[in-house]
Amino acid sequence: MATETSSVDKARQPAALRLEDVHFAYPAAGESSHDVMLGLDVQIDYGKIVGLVGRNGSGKSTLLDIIRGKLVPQRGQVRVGKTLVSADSRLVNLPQVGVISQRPDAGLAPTMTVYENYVLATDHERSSLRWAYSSQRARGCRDLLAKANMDLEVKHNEQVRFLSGGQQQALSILLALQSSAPILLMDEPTAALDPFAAERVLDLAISETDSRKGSLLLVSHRIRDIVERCSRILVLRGGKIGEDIDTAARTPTEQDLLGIMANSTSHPRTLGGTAQ
Amino acid sequence: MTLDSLSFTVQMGLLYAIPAMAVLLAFRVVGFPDLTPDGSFTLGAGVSSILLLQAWPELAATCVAVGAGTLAGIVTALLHTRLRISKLLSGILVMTMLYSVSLRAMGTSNLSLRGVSTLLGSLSSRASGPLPIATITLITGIVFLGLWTFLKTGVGLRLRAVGDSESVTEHRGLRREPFYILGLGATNGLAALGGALVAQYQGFVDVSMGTGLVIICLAAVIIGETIVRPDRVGLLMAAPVLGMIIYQGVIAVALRMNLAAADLKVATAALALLFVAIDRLRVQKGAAGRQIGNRNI
Repeated sequence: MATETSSVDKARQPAALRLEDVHFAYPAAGESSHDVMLGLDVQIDYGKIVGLVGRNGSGKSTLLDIIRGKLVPQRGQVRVGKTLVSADSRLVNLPQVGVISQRPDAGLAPTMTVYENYVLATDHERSSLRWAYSSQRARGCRDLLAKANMDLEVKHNEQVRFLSGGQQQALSILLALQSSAPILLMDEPTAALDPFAAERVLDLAISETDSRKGSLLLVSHRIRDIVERCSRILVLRGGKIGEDIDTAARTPTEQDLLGIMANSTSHPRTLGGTAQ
Repeated sequence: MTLDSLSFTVQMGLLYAIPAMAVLLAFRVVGFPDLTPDGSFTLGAGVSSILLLQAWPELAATCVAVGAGTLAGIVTALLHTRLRISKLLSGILVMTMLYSVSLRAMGTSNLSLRGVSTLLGSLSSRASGPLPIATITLITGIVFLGLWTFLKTGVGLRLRAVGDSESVTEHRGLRREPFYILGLGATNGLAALGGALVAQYQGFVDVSMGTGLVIICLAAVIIGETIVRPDRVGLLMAAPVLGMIIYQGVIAVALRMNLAAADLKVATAALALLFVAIDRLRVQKGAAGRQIGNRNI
């Protein structure tokens, strides 16, 4: 992978996300435990748009929680950018991770205005006692909102809870993209949206990712979105990355991918897979 | 109502508006239903009175009282964040302990401040003539402006966000603990300031003067919110001030109409209920509020 990144850059910059030999099991009643990750290895470089697919119960949500430091694997290492998140069953640091979920108001303060939410997302001086309102910031806010093309910019003084679901989702994504986090996790971002809003919201996330240096990990059951938009597709299966597909080498069809997801072992390794 | 009693009502309203703004800060802004102010109000009254009786300078005595209240608030916040005791119980525990602390500090269940020079007294006499209302307005106004300004700074926005939704703190990587410490410290510092000023105004401290304070303040917050329907921070802060003046007026009238002092708490609760009912009926009619603040509490 990462053919366009020069080796010099690679040496200077750590990967946006790196998981090494991650083992995770949910504790269960009695002796047994429910294994979800069995030595998972993956690395995602900066600036990539990567899709993650897998059937229900394959551990997609668990993997996202492990990346965010909400769950700690029993074995293995998790790194986000330069931050060591967890190592050998110990949480080391909470990482900087942008998250966009199917809840449209994820990361938004509902009774605060759009502008105030913008300030919360963009003001990185944590202990600032400076006045939070300025015409310069308001202009920056309106410029950002205009990118969504959803009439958000005229609502910058409106409380977030009075926006439509699609507008909230777009705002949530725009603000998540303002963070300097190495990786942005999108978990079924369009589940709650109509097909038109879903298109627009995804386009927005992709174009914003192209203009920042972090990468994007997109989890979705809408296989078409994954196939069309991701430069790399990870198939989660049997507690590991069962298939690692470079879509630049060959773009799989929706059917191909569904086949790979359904199948356990007996598919031809012709999709540029570097599994395990 | 005579002019005298009207002026008394407004003065009491403006004095109690300080703890009312504090309660609003905890309940509506920080999203922490804190019952500590019952205790920190008395603590502020007790501490400032003891120091005044020992001839401390008025301002210093009042400041120490505010500091004591702030500490009490921080303890409540830490009980919740460190020991994971529920918000309600943390407040109740500290409030209960503060009753004994105040009683111990005062050494007796009530103290008279007759003949002692107080902050309100000295400021008022300097303002040529007995004009406590001007002094009280000034102090309450400073607290109001201070809170209003603070809530519009970067830290103030984050404090509001912490009270607004779990999701925003998680996504913006905000730890809740420092904001609970900040918010409850300020809440109880202000409650203590209110207690100190009320004690100085009425000329005595009673160890049970804070009992039921949070309920009175909540009643004022609800009354104020029903009237002003705050959709901006300025209006949100104004609600408890207006509400407290109205509350004090209603209580004064009720007492004049021979309401027994024993029935005062029922009257307070009934008044709060009345305004909640007005608010809810209005919402049902479709005039849904565009109010800000944490309405879960």
